[in-house]
Amino acid sequence: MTMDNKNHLHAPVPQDTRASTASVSSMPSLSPREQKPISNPYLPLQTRVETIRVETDDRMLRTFIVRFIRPDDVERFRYRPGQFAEVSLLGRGEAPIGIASSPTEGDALAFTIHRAGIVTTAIHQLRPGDLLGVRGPLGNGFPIERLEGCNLVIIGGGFAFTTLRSLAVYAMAPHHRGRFGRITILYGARRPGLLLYRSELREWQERSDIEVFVTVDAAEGEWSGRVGFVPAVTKDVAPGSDNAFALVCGPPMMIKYTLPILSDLGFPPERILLSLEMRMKCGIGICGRCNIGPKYVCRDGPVFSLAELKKLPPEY
Amino acid sequence: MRRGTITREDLNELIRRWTAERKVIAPVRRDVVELSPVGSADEIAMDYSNTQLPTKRHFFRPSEVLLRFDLRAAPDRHVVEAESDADPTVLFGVRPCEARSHTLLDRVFLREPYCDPYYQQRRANTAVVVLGCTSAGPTCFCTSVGGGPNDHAGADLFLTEIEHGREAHAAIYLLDVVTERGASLLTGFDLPEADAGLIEHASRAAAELAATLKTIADLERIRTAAQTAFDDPVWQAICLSCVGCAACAFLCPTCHCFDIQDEVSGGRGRRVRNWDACSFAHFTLHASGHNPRPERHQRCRQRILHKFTWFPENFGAAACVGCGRCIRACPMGNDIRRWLEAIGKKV
Repeated sequence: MTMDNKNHLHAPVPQDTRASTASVSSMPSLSPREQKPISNPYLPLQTRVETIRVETDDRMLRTFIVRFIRPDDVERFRYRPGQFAEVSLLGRGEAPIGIASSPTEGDALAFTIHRAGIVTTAIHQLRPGDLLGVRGPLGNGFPIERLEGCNLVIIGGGFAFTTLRSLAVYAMAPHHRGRFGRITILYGARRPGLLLYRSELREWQERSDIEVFVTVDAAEGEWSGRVGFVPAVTKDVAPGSDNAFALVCGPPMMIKYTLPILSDLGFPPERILLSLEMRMKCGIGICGRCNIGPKYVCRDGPVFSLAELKKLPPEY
Repeated sequence: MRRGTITREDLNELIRRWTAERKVIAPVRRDVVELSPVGSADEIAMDYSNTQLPTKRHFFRPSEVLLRFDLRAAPDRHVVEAESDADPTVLFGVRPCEARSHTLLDRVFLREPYCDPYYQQRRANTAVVVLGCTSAGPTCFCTSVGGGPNDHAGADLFLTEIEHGREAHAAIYLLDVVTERGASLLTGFDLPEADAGLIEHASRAAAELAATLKTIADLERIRTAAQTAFDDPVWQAICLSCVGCAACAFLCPTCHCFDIQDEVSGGRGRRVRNWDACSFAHFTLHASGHNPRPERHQRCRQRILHKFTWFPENFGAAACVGCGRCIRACPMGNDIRRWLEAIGKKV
């Protein structure tokens, strides 16, 4: 018996991949059959770095705008706000990074990357024209269908604002804006020099169809905006909870103090959505390291409602 | 399911045929009994308790090349898919607990919408011939986790020795044809039907053997441990005697955690996945320094709850086949049966 799928790993999918132990007869057959080929989820798609923007004055965060080398990869990589990708440099490795661009912005992707470890340090050395591997899109992303028709309260802190930016841009796009109600954005950083997307924030503040509040923990230089922690500003602004979803990303302390304020404002746990970070490798729920109880952040998340998180062990 | 009888001599003839057209991997007695490619039936050990290493390594390699790369090539040719070595194979003479573990791993590696192609290809190209147990080792507890000496899960063909014979080649086996793939291994071989008396005899023997295996803690109760005993001091108590070496995980037929690393030299290299384990502190360590499971008791708890609470929740069965390797291998003498008893008292 010969196997004609020997030389490449676009493997056939067995008929019933979740066969119970009782139905052993549905195990994959030794003989090749008519089965749809699938792509190898471990292979990165190659992109070329188009633009690099240093985001913060400590130079620890850079935004990389990249474009797929093979045009058909654009179609393979159809994503929604809140998803992430394993970005990689061959020879260095992979790191899970949230997608900062919105699918409404065209074919290019944006990743805002904090220099933290071996891979991200190597990525920070890249120049325009260099190659970057991208594997994804991964994770559930924000539940756009559920958000439709609702008011959005987007609350971000520090450099955890990237996928919230994707969502904000998505919801503000001309052909999407009407699908959502009021949009309120609260974003803060420790100081002005650590705010991401500063020029874009200024443009947003001038729009009449959204409300944008930008704050810093401590002012410096010519800062004339708000000063105050994100939770305090949230309390101050007091966005209404009627028919609204709160979408929260930020450092643990910010989240810890913001959640009770959202509860006080009347947001039920089902309408508070958080995006989590975890160490990841495979990104597809197999390698085992990003679990919180029975859930895998890479596959079941990274976006969870507070109601879902309350049912899970506090191990994140 | 067809059930026939086969003599050891005829079985040897079948194995001879299989070796001519595919790889045959079977238990071989060296210093220990291990799985090894064999050229003839004479090399195969049929009288053993279990192999030292689990069969998962046949499908999920300790180290696997996911892709190769050459940075000196044109940019769109940097990445080269790893060539599959999933040759048609017969995994012969493995124990029922091993075959059962394959059906558990399938649920992880072949879960929609992602399918692990490396695992899937080997799984699709491998027929599993199981040798039912006629005796149990001191650390066996398969019946407590849904298996048993006669468990056909994951088997394509299932052999049960019904007459030992004075000499090895005189042994007689009951041969169950469990799947179509199993039947295809017998193409051109005339399998005599087993008579009802023999079948009855074999199932009685298996039931008697199963009855000798003590049932460990009530696993239905332990399924609730994540809700009722997550913060119980029992985790600190059991972890005191764990050194975190992960021998249990590497020898476990169902543990499947892995790491992915790049290896590079002179612009050429490969992306490799290697077995990893939740016993290690760095397993969950973020680049920021944050670690969701920095303490050993948290990691022991993760291992137990994953197997007995969360895997059942996600996949409908415990991620344990009761092979007892973790008990035999633990350098600290830890016994998962005792751990489960201790936890069971807390839920």
